[in-house]
Amino acid sequence: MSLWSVVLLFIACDLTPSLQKYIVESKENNEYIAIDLPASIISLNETEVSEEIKATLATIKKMNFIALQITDTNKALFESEKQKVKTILKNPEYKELIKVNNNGTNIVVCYLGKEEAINEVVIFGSDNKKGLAVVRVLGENMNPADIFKISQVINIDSNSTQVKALKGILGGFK
Amino acid sequence: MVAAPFFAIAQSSLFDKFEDMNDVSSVIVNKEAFKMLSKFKGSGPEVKEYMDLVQNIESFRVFTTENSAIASQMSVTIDSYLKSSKLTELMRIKDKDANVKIYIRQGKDENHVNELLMFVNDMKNKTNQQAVILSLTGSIDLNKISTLVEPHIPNSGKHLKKQ
Repeated sequence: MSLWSVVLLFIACDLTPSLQKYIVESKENNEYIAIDLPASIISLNETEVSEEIKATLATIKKMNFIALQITDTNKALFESEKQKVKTILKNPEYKELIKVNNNGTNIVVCYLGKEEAINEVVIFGSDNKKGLAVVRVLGENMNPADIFKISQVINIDSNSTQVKALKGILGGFK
Repeated sequence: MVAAPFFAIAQSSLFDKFEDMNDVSSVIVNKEAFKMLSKFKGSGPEVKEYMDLVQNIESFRVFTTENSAIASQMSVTIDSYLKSSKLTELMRIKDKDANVKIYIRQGKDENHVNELLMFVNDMKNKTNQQAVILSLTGSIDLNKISTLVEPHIPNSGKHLKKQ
């Protein structure tokens, strides 16, 4: 391996985990709400499904959800945290899919990996009055077309404690 | 990997500065999203037509503002962009509703363009919109583009179709 590729490898490794670091740090911050959803909460509607569907489902590993709700005292923290996430997502490793910005509400969707083999999907939403939220779906070679195909047959376990907690938070944002 | 940063630069545009402004609404859809969309195969001729259209799109950007100061800033940016780029004017429409300018960069044949830029200002309609910038890059079929442009700039489709 040439020195150049070692340097590139080092840069790649150095840049990509920063969202991971941000999520870990946010979980330790009391201002944040954090939920980890294991892939096991996604189950299949039908018991008899093809191996292909099972294989697609197996590419999804887990989901992180973190949110910071604006209160009377944390406006400055919100601004600095918003900038932090924006900077992380500016890394060209994150391929941006869609970005929508409307009256102080921003939503960005991006991913890591190749278009047919995605390892990470990140959805970042922020609102200047309500707060911010980051959703990260981790997987291994997730194929969006396949996931789209199976989305009709999957079922999210809405009685699990994680999903209930998530619903509670989302309710609070409205 | 070496090419990645350059690619990222190619994706950004002069208009991106409007994105972070408070009084600007924006929608940015990149090539990867269109590519993914084209894989969610549906059925029917409309889906097929839509897929043909979006497959070769590199980027789609729309910036809308209700703020007249930003609208004039947009106008200045458009002018300076036109000076530095190789765009030619396709048409200019001034009527009671708005002032619409459309610019293109010629593509592989007379029906295709590699870039389409629309700028609408002096808008007098029910919404409070002052100005809209719509920028499309990639290989675009002029006969089909109205499907994408129409929702953002009403009545623009009929002008484009006249071509």
